[in-house]
Amino acid sequence: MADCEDGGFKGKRRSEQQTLAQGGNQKGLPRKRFYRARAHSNPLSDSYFPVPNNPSDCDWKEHFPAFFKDNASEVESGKPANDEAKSEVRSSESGAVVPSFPAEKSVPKVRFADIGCGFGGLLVKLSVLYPDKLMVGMELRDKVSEYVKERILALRLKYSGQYENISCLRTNAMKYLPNYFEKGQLEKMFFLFPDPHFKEKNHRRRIISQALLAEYAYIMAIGGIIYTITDVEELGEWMKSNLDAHPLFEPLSEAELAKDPVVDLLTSATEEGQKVARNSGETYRAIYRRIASAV
Amino acid sequence: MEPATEDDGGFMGVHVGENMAPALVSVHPKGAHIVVSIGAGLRIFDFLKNTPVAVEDNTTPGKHGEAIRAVAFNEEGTLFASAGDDKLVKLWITETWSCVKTTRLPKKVTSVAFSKDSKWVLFADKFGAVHCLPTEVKDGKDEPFQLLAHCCSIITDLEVTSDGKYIVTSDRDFKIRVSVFPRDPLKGAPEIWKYCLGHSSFVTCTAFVGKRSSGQQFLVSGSGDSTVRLWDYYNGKMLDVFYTGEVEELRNGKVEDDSSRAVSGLSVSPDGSVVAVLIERFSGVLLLHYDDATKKLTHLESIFLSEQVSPTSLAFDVDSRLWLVAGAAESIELGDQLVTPEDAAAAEARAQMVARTAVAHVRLIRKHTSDLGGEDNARETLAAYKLCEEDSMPGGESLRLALQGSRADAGEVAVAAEAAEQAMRKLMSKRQYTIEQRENRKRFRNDKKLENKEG
Ligand SMILES: C[S@@+](CC[C@H](N)C(=O)[O-])C[C@H]1O[C@@H](n2cnc3c(N)ncnc32)[C@H](O)[C@@H]1O
Repeated sequence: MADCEDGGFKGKRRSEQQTLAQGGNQKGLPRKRFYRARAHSNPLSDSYFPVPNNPSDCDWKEHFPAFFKDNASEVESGKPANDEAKSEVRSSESGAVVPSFPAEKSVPKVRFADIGCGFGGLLVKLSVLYPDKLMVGMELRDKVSEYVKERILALRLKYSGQYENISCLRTNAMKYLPNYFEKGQLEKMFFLFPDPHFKEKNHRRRIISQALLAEYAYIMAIGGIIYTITDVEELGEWMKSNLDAHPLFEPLSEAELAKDPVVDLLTSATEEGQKVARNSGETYRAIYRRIASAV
Repeated sequence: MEPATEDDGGFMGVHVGENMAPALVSVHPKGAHIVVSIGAGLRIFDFLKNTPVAVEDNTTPGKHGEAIRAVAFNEEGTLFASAGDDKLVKLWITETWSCVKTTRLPKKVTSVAFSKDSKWVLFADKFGAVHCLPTEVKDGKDEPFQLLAHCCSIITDLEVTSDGKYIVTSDRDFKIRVSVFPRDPLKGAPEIWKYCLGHSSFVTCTAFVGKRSSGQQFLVSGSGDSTVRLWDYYNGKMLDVFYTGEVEELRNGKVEDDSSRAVSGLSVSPDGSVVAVLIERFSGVLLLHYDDATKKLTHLESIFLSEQVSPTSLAFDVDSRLWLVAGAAESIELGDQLVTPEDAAAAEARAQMVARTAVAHVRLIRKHTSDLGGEDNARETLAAYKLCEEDSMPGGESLRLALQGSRADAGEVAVAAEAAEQAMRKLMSKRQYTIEQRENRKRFRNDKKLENKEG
């Protein structure tokens, strides 16, 4: 299989033209209605798209050209960033050890992943909040991921020097996350308004489960935070009880939640979140920290 | 090759169906028994008494009703587990070959392994989950519980590392996963330690090389990408890649077509230095040398069988003899809708009949030490493997009759073995559509829907 060209911007010229021809509005920002897609995809069905064989095959340069301009040679050599060197800080509230993550060294790595990012609203907001962190949205529906890529390109053009740290790729996050991220790489993972899959027999399609949490724990750094939110009460309970049951996660305290600037974005930043807010719907969130295994 | 029919005259009744299950061979870790599973049946030969062994099973259901797909001995050889398409797991005491436990699992089983302390038996299934059962026999029912799962993939092999610390699972989606063996398996195996990623096709099998006593074993894996790869599984690092397609014997016309052939089986010699490799449509076995100092795999020998049959399974025994088995039997689906006990009994009887009449070939490859000149040329010692003449195989005629079946016709075995290979291919390879084909398929499906609505 090829590397993640598909997720890169190799094909951008063609789609850029398309945007201008059919979807682009005056300001050059793509409009959602030209990227209409099926409402739901079945994540358990195999459809064909390129997947990198392993994280070192993944060419992030394509996604974040501005971040790889000067040190292209180092990227090639695949020199690992110093992941181990985390300074640990005791959070006063819970007494838990909270590592503060070091600034990126020579080879920047993706640190945040928005799983099922939809139209990318969260990435756009997070981009300015954490301009030094690389973050990627992972979306199953190809049209939607194309839209997000166009949206980001348009933003980069419009606001020179900004939005260089966000990107989107098409993949099935239930299957291929370890192909993109190394052990302990991610500092934040987002699961905002995931598909509910109501029927009992479809519960195994849900994006949070014991088996999948093991994968998320694997790619997350100790101290990293997983954010989940939904407007479906039953799903909210499902996500919370699964996180509670998993020994590698612990809930954040109320005080920690109050201090975290990301928490407010969960309800306000994404398209789905805004829809729920407009209908003043109830939301249920579960926000947990990746902790070390007790050995 | 065309499937045989009754009209073929030469082949009497070998039934080649859609769902052929390969014959599997396993050897007792101390060399007491050899077991060939074919279809729903186990054929056992006792080397010490030089006789075949009949199994005894008073559990319910008392027999496998569909093909066995996975077998394993525990570390000491006191226990044996069999499982497969009928979703039944059977645990046997090898001293008497009596079944002490039969448990129903939720899905068809693809692989099985014991924990190193023999307290647990682990099963991988077609839906990507690994379940666990205690081996202890007690009153009442055991419920299998889930340890881990590969999301929507098929687990192809399952192993526990020799230090007992990790569970290694490989899958159809090119992945090898290393999970921490949990202290309390009843709480699942929530911690993934590493992935070994690098294969560019489905992974079929895994095994360990290196000296067991050294505590420094490494992992080898075979795949649909025709390679055998060597891994430092603790660090998730690939150490070496061996391209089987570059072996001369496999290139120079001995094998007709050169489309990529999957590695279909691996077994490692007891000293951890020889890796025996089965390859699709190759009527022989490749022997690779694993060098502990350089951490490399090199070609040692290619050994051909005297007949055109590709072995379906292989196993080294404790004396470094390599047993090869070729054969297959159809696995007849019982389906989930079996209602009456009579239906179940009839299906079970049919499966047992298929197993009894199925034919297999058993071959042996062993070292010919007499050929050796120098004492300290390890490489040459290794290079002295030879196919054993049929009539000088241990166990003699009695072993052959017990394990092969009475009418072990080479043509029949070849047809069955090839059908099993094809069934494996079909299961492992995903249909890969181009974007265009996919759009067309969608359109076609939508047209159908419309028609249905109108009609
Ligand atoms: C209801 S939407 C929410 C989108 C976005 N997070 C928001 O809040 O607006 C769920 C999204 O997850 C995507 N999705 C579902 N399963 C997925 C998977 N296995 N991998 C990646 N994306 C997935 C769907 O295509 C859909 O766009």
